[in-house]
Amino acid sequence: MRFRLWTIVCLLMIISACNQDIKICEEPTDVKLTIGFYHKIDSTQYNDTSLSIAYVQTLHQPPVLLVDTSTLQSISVPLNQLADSSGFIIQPDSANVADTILIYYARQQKLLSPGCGFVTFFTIDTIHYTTHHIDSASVVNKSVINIHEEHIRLFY
Amino acid sequence: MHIGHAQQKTDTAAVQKDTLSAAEHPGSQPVRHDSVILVSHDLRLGIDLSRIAMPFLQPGRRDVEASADMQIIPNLYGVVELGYHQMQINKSGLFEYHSHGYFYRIGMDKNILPPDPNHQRHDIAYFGFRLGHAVLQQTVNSYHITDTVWGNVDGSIPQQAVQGFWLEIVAGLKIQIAKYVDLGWSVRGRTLLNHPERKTNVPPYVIPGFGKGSNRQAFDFNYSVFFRIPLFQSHYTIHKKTTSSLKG
Repeated sequence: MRFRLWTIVCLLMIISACNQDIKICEEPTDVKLTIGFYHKIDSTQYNDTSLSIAYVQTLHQPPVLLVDTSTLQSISVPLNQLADSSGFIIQPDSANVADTILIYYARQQKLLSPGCGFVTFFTIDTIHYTTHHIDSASVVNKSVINIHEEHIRLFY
Repeated sequence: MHIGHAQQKTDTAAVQKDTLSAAEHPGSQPVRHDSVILVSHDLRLGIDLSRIAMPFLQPGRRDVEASADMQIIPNLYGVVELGYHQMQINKSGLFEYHSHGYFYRIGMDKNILPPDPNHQRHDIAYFGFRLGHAVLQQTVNSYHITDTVWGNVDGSIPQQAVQGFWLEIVAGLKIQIAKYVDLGWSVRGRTLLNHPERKTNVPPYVIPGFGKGSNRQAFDFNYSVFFRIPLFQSHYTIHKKTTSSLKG
């Protein structure tokens, strides 16, 4: 009797285990562009720094506020999955005029897993930016497939 | 006259006669015995019964698998396995996925059981290898990505073909339960040789005949019923050298 019970329990466990990857999302699904802030010492030297931000918002209308009054070493912002470019307005506390950064990229929808569904991966092509407060910028990682890696460095 | 008594390990083998090629030289070493055995070349057709349970284990999945094997030389079997796979995933609010495809495996099995001296039973215990190839057609009828900043994404992906190649090792049993009917099981370990997920933005959920597309290795179990069709028999000569001659 006990053997039969264990057999049934084991079978139920096998049956439920077969569909776990469809039912449950076990992977991080956030895909965002991470921008790091750096202080430029000279043409070859720099160090990472914290930036006092008044706000960061999307360029499109109506704007969406992404970051509000914070001091951060980096920010992670979502790229537009419906277009091949995204624009952001970065307003530091210490400047009167905000900087605008435009990112151009290729995008591909990918099935992350049956449990998580689809996400959009991006490959950065070029970036354009104003230099009211920004000194320069560089792309350090073209492939935007998660939130953990730094993709763009802004030098102040 | 010298008679050799070499015993061959084959399920259909029957020693007909042994000859001594060096009979005219009783003192010479070594001596060669030629054993002529009878090999039955039965066509064994199988259906994998374990695949019937698949829709209960994974709703939306259908699998059919059949096999054919035949003894080529004593204890060595050529094997062909064919199958069809279908998968439907409806993840509410996220995506609708449909795939269907076929596969085949070719390989050899080596029997390690001694033969039935009465030539009545056809049981084999075997190990072997397979080379597998699968072609899968998959379609994403719809997908949805929620984005509260820029706007939600809705789309579909037209039918795309994905191929898989793999190598597998297999071990199992085939036991005769009626005159022309066998039952058997096998366990298998597989390793994928190519990277089908790299050529598509929709990694295949299941590669037909292999297993989960997200894994490089897969393990499987088959439980099959076989129907044996006797086709023809042939005589097979085994050359065997012994270090001393036998005297009758």
